[in-house]
Amino acid sequence: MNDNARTLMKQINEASFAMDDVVLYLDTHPDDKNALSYFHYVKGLREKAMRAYEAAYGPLFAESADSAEQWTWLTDRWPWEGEV
Amino acid sequence: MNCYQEPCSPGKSCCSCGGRPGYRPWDHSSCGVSPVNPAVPQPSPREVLFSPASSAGNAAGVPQYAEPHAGGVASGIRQPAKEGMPADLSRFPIAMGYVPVQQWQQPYSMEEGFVRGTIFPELDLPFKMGRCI
Repeated sequence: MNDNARTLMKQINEASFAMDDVVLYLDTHPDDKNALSYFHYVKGLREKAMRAYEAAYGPLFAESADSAEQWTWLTDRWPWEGEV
Repeated sequence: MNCYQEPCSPGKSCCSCGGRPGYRPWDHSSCGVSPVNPAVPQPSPREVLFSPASSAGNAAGVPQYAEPHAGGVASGIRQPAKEGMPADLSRFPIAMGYVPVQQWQQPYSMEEGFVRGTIFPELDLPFKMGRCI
């Protein structure tokens, strides 16, 4: 995985974890406005990072394969198949 | 939301919500007040004999309170002196567990939170353990 892919993946992991943690907090504090706005904030960051990664390196989930020409989920490089 | 009509008063188990709508004495999440950090100190004529816990003897998680005022005749529930038990035991029905409620604070950066395993600094409680010899 090249440096850019690694950086984007790091951002996805960090935003995803932050989102999971604030979700746990919201489960016990459903009316906390600060927590809610933090949730929407990290959710947005996560989506942005995922879209940036997918634009450069292909789908992260089967469902985000968006080519009508080819099933890119299968045809793009697997993570272990080296540099793009 | 149901409201407890009777406010907190001596002899009644309650948290320090003082009868706000929806509060339930055993459920501090409804008033947002932790039994560990009561918003309003509860003046109480009841005397509870209390021996403060040594730090070694305190069970983890048992809320600690300042010692009650000395002297006076107990007009409420008197508790025998017990190490590690809070002074105003009658506020806490037995057979129930109590958990201080987390409040929102500025979380870690996402990078830091990922490394620490939590985005909440107040939940960043590394387990430090000495070796068995």
